[in-house]
Amino acid sequence: MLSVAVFLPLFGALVLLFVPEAQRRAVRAIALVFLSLSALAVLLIAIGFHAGQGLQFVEDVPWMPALHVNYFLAVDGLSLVMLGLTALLGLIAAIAAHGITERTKLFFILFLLLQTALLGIFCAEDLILFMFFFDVMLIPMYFMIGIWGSGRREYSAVKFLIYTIIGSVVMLIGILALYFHTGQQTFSIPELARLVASRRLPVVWEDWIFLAIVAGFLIKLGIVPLHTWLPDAYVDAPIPASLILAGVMSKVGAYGLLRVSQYLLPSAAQHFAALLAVLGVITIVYGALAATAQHDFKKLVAFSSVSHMGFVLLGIAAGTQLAITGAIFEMVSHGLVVGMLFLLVGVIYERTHTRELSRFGGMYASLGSGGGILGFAAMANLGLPALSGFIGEFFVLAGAFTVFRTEVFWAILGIVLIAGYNLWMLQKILMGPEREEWKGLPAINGRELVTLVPLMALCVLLGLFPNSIIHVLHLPVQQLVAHLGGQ
Amino acid sequence: MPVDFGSVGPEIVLAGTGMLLILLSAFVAKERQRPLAYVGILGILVALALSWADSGATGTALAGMVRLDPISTFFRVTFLAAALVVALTGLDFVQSRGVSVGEFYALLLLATTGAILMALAWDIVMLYIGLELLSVLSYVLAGFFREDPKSNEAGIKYFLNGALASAVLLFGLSMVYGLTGTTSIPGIAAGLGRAVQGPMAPVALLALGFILGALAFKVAAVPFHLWAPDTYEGAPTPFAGFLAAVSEGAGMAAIIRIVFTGMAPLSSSFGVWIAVLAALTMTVGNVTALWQTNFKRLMAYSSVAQVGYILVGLAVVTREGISSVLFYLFAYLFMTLGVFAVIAALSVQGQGEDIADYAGLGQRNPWMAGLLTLFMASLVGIPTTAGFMAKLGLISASVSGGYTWLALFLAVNSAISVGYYWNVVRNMWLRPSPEGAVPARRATSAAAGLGLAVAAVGVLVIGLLPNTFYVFAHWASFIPGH
Repeated sequence: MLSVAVFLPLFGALVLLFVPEAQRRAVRAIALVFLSLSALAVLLIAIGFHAGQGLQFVEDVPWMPALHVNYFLAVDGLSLVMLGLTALLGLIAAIAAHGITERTKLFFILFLLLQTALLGIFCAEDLILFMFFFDVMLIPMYFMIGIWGSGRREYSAVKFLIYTIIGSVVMLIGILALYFHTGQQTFSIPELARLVASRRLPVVWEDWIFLAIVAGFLIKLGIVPLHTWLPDAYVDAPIPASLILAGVMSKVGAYGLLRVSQYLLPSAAQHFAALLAVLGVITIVYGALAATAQHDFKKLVAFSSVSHMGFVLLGIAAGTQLAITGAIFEMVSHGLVVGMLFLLVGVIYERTHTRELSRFGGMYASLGSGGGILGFAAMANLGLPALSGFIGEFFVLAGAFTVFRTEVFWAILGIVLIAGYNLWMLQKILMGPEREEWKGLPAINGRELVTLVPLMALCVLLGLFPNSIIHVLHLPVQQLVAHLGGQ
Repeated sequence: MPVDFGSVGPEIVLAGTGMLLILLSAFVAKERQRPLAYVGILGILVALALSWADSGATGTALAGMVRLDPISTFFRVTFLAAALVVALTGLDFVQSRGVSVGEFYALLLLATTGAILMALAWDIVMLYIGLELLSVLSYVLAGFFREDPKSNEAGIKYFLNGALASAVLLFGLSMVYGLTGTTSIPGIAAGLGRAVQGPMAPVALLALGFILGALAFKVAAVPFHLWAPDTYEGAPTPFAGFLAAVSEGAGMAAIIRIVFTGMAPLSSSFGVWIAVLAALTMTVGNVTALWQTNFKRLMAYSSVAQVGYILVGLAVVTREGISSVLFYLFAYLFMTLGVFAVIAALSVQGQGEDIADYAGLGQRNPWMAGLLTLFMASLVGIPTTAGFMAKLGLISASVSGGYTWLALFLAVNSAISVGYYWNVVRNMWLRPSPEGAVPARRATSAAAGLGLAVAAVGVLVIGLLPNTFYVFAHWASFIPGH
């Protein structure tokens, strides 16, 4: 079942190879069919999932026996939540890719390839398989930024590529060092985790290995000072790619921390917890300050994204049940909210052909219901209670408070800044007298609503009933916290 | 000792076909020599079949001059496979230049024979004969386009440098002979084992230095690589691929034979020497490649860099190291020959060989551009391609062998290599076609199409289902004397 969900998009990409380029509608339809089928498979997995059990839907067959590498896919609560987010955002981004009218076939082939890689990462339980998916995801994204992007797209695309490749080769060395120093001849994550739990893991260079592995994840997550590729890539990518980059791909970094580095190298994780927490807080404050200084709508969303990833890192570093649950919740919630925001950037740009904040104003009148949705998205972004963002941030701060008091204080300062730039953005775009040039803009259309409404609905649902996710996450987070030696 | 010709059957077939081709091409007009190439391809296939059938054999033959063992079988199969891909993908190119196809294929087959003899050699005389057979024919092949000054330059440069390297090698070998009084490789190992205990130990180290230096020339390791860019650029494109896949491999085979087996008593010294050579070679190769504008020159520096990677596996001096080297060489042949096959196919269609000429290829000829992207991704070492599994093997051998610093070097270099490999990819997909670009002609000949398919399937199968190949490389990595 898992393999079906993961490889359906890839199969779709192979089918697309043989569809003529001119048949743009057919290309899009085929891509959507395969993405929907894959999302359906994820849904079936979610229905069959038992929150009280560990790894489920296990597919574990030898892949390279000579190297002790297995093709090992499975889901636990954390994987399931991420798979759901990926399937949903993938579908929405594909619908939002309506504006891609040049080389459409190539775009969707790459998009489907990317979706397979992302789904694969979140259920790979073998480190080498994980690396496979982790690296494969770069290539389609490189082309998506480089071919369909805007601005300095070539520069941004290659910067993205080089940063991530450096991260991943260093990570590969870390993983191999881990493999050799454990001496157990396995790359299986649960197997290695069992060794950790029974304290039978003789890892000599644990700190170095930890740093090598974590660097790759922090780059992906866009943590200051390894974030400089991120605003370029987010801003210059086409909207569907920005959505996947910010909504799903940045979460790969956080997921990797939870699944690999914190889980398998707990004592090094404790050595570096304070460092990670400080980096998290710096990222929160820096991202928020930078967002405040932006004149470009899309850049503002990009830096806002950086800032939120700081919360995720802070929660992971704190290592308490509450904080980690909060961090994962924040990952999901941010996926939804940043999805909405990038879609809205697209909606507005398509009508006005500008992203310059100072040129907007009074658009509440001209955008109609779109204005309301933007207001909603900004509120969700600043963490208004009853919406999903609040739960994540609150849990992170409350959970981290017992461990890192000073850091939490600074993070709260960050929250004030976040509220500030969100409100300021709303003011710039929506408030004020209606401008002559924006009168009579076309109202938001059905296709755009189809992409936005599910995200809004989920945002409310998760805000009101956070337990729907939290009870799924309980067991995996508990295991992780136990590894880290916490309560 | 009985002279056993049966165990060198593949070489006899190969050399015989080569000589037959020389004879035939004297009687067939240049324009009608295409069938001769098929004869050559058939010869390679028969040799491949024979060596496959014979792959379990071990023992010496030709009065102790050659030895059949897993590792020489491995090199034999690898070189034959590489020659096959070169023969398939080079046909259109050679024919389009109006030269004698028969002669080209004859030289190609004989040069391959030389490379295989180097790997089989169990005696330094045979090693040297193999090396000279490969080298002399390579000089001719590099300068094969007599009317083309660049090809002449390639031939001359390669010849002058190669002749010097051969002399240095001979000097080193003569010192070894002087120390041990034998030309047989196992005899040398035994003799050196005694010599290093005595006062002549420094001479043994000197000989090691000469031999390693000369073979470093052969594989184009830094600082002995300066012939490579000019030779690659001017030589006929299919032969440039042959240089990268077969000549380099033969150099590695010779290092394994004479240094790892013959000079095994010195193994505590040469690991570090090779490690330094590896680090230097990959770094200089990669950094210099960043400035290249001609695709074939770029591939020359790329192959220098790849040699640096391969040397990492040798530096470790463990069985895992050797196994990773063999795996890498096998994987490398598909990716690098794939690149040269694309260059050759496009240049037959009239496209230039500068990287700028590749701009917009993704739209003009998406299949060719797609294949080239696959090969480039493999050279960078991105998962799902052979290149990733090969680098994984090298990194894991060096981490487990206590050379983590070298693994880090390799990692940093892989990141640098993205700069130039991806520059080509960027040109193909992100840039518009230049004015007057050659329009797409999708059809290639059946031979070229087959060769490209072999290369692409090889890259993907080794990348996705590497187990069989790992088992093969590991089986072959047993070295007598270690």
